[in-house]
Amino acid sequence: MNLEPVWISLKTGCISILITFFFGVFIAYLVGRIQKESIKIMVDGLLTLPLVLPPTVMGFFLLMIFGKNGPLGKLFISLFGIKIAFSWLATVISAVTISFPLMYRSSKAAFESVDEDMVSAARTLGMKEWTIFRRIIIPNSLEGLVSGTILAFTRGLGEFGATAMLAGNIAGKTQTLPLAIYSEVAAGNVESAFPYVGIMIGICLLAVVVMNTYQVRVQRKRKNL
Amino acid sequence: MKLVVDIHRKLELFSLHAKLECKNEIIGIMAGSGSGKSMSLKCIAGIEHVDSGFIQIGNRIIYDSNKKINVKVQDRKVGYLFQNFALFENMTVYQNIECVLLAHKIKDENRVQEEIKRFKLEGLENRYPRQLSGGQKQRVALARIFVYPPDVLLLDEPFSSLDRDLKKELMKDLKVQLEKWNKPTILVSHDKEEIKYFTKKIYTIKEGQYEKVY
Repeated sequence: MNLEPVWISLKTGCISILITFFFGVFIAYLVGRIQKESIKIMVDGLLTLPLVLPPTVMGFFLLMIFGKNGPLGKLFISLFGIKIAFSWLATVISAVTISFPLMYRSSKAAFESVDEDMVSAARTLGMKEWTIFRRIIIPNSLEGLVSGTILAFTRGLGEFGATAMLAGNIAGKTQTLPLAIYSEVAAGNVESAFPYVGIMIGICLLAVVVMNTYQVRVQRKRKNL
Repeated sequence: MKLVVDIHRKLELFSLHAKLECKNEIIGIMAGSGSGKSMSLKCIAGIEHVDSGFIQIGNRIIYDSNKKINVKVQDRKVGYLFQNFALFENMTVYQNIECVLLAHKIKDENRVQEEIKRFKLEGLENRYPRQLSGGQKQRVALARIFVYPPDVLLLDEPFSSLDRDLKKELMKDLKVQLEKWNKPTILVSHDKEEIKYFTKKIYTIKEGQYEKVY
């Protein structure tokens, strides 16, 4: 069995969840601070689009932006001499784009569920907004942030459509596990696909079990005082 | 110190017009639920927005719609005791008090210890809010307010979530503390006896209008 797709997937999954986590949390915080309701709804809709649109449509947009004739694609070539499309970096960009809404929405919901009075109290006590975010809102939404992270990680790991569009399916370079499974089956090697499928199930199951264990522990701690 | 309030806020069912003056004394607002009494306090603290009017503490104007002054909640120096006490769940009793000092860039363990002693919280320093009784929570909330003393104190139904027996003792303790502190204090409650225990100056709210009762 060729293990390359496993390493590529793990590398892509780990790097992209780091980026997705910080973007998701930070942007959820910024959107939460928008005062005007109509603007908030619009911005939230736009940020959720990658979740509801077909991944190939997102991949199409990414190609328009990061392709060699796209604005950011051109910029990267002229600044760093890096071609993004069909490079390993493209698998990360695709995974981040598609998994971002899950992280963003989980974070936003977690922040909103923090007791409003707690936040108001912090303000009356003179705490600055950024301090309130770091010391009160984040610690009191850990449960939601953990489940958001796991969901976004597994979604990024399983990314197929947008990755195929922007990164292609280059063995040893951009061929992640889902693409490897597709390639093997398309080539009629169903048997070679089995181990990949098994590894995929294993990683995702482990991630979800970690999430559930964490939640059970938090709840038990709460009950036992 | 004197607190002067004259503010308007449009609510769904009526327009609230909170008009009162409070010197270094306790004023009671007695009204039923949905009368806008908590809303009045939240407007003074700056937690809720005000449509128009004027709020002044001593010689500090913290809100004036004509002069377009609207001081941030953080800078109003208005202490607010929430009905559910709103302690920071992720912090211990000690941290709940200490973080207020840290927010003002003060590192002073003695100040924290002073408040812990004053509000009889010795031995509870390392407990989390979920491990406290209602009365203990109230004392932590008060310690947290007084560790960096505000200019005005607003008490929003401070005894409504407490047991009856506990209530009497806590009322006595709070009254002693408030008399020592002696700055503008507004106490909101639906309970006549409770308010009468603290003050003779009582307002009520009828369809959004403040009326002096005694």
